[in-house]
Formats: sequence, C-alpha cells, structure tokens
Amino acid sequence: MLANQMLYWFGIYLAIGLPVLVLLRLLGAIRTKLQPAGEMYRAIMADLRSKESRRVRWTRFAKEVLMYPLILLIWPVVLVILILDICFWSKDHWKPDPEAAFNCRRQHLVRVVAPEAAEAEAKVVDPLGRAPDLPFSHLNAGWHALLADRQIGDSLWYFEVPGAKRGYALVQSSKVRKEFVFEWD
Amino acid sequence: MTAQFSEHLIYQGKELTLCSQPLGPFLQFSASTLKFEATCTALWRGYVGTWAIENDRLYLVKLSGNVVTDGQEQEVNLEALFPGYPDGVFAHWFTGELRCPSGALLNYVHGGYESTYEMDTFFRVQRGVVLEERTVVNDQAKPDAPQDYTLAGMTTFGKSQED
Repeated sequence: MLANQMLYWFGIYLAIGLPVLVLLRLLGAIRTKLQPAGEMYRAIMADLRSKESRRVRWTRFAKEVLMYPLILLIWPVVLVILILDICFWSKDHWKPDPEAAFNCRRQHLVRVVAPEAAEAEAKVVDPLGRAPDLPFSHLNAGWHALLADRQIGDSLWYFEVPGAKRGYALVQSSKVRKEFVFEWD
Repeated sequence: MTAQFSEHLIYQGKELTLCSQPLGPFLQFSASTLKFEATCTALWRGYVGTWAIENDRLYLVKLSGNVVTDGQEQEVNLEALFPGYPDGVFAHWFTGELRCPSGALLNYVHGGYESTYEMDTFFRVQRGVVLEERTVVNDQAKPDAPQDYTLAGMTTFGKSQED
C-alpha cells in the first residue's frame, strides 16, 4: 500500500518534471536563435564534428540521451538553476553577432541589374593572360552558382556594404536571399 | 590560435614573408569545391601560397595544400584550384592590405600573425592591382633577437585509427 502510494507520488513528481524539461529545451532553442554563433564558430564546430571518431560520436549521443532522465529525476534543482540563470542573465549576454555588421541588408542594395549588364561590367583583363576571359574571371563559378539559384520572383541587385564588400544579391520580397561577392575590403 | 605559417611573396627578386591571406576571399566566394584541411595547429588554413608582384599586379604563382577527397588525404597544387593555370593566376578578387614583416623579432606572440618585427612593408591592393607600397620601421630589436619570421611550436594532427 505504502509502496503503491510512493510510486504514485513519484509518478506525479516525474510528470511535473516533464514541463521543466520542455522549458529547458525551449530556452536553449530561443537562446541559440537570439544569439546565433558566428560563421567562423559554426565552421570550426562543423569541421571538428566531421573529424570525430565513431566512439566520440556515440559517447556524445549517449551523454545526451542519459541527460534527460537525469534532469527528470532532479528537476527541482534544474528549475532553481534555470530561474537563477534567467534572473541573472544580464543584457551583456545578448551581444549581437559581430559578423552581422558585414551582412548585406536592404539598405545596402544599390540598384536592380540585368545579369547581362552585370557581366558586361565584370571584365577582368590581365596582360599576362593569367585570368580567364569570363565574367568575374576566376570567380565565374560563384557568379553562375548565384544565377543558377534564381527563383520565380527574385530580382538581381548590385549591393555595397560600406567598408566590407561589393557584389550581387538575389532579393525576394525585399529580403536578401543569396549573395555573390566579387570584392571584399 | 597558434602562431601561423606565413605565405610567401616574391617582390623585386626577393622572397618576403607575407602575413596576409589573399586567397581567403577567393575560397569563400568562388564556389570552389576544394576544401583545404588543417594538418597542424600552425596551418589552420591548410595551404601555403607563394605570391608575386609583377608589373604592380598581384599573382598567386605557387600553392601547396592538403585536401581530403573520398576520405583520402592528398596534397594539391595550383592546378587543382585553378585548372589550366599552372604557372600563376591574377588575384583580381583581392582588395586590401598585404603585410610583410622583416628584420629581427621584437615581440613574439603565439597566435595568428601577431608577432612584431623590426620592419613592416605594406602593399595596398585594389582588385589585384598594387596601388601603394610603404615601409614602417617599428623599433630596433635586441642584439640576440631571432632574425626573420619565427614559430615557437605547433601540434600536428594524426589520422584517427578508430574510424
């Protein structure tokens, strides 16, 4: 009887812990979204993960799987840590991504151009013949990758991010969808 | 980051140490499928390029890099990145400043290209064309200071045996 009652209350305890677990996941996702990692950080992490051995991958996966039952068992402690973390998480932590300063935004769009006009302005001449006679020369593949990605409703814009870069962008509904950079300061 | 191996710049018949990476923008914007792999902590970019300034233009004349194709590591040269241009390519994609330190070491920093030397020669480049050259004398080094570009140490990567 007592064992049954204890089991019942333990079940209630775990059931209350479930929303804490969901809250924890949500908070993590929100933080990742609001404070995106820089491009370099993402590239390094992707590179490191691609080099992980099978054992390291399995260990990481096992740790993640084991973590959830553990959180469920000690959810009151996790909840206190969570509340303290939210309360004392100062505004300093909400730093904007420094790489965002180099992103092409709406205000950097200069003019709409036709691909042919862009190509006509992109001649590169080298007296030693060490540059192919193609639009954007050695960067021609990047230009074609941009054109190949055009979708219905896209417009092609020339853009300049002052002190950072110049190039062409595919714009859909006033949003920059894809860029091709031919000059980086 | 560990102090990095430099690039090389041939200018007026001399080979200078180049502490800039003009190939970086090309690799980022050219849609090249070649992905260089680091072989040690002193070469995170995975390649070393030799550049030349000829007739006020910047050329990449030699490249030695490490890539992984189908799980196999292999060394590649300029031809792999620029097929049909084994002798050099015009670096029209590069706009910025090149820094070539020279002389004896003033202050060693074990990170990136942060160490300082007696002199720095800067080249201002726009779309591959050299617009300006200037030399800055930083200081005079101690008599026993090491000459030329120096790296204190690195860790080389071994291939994992577990996969």
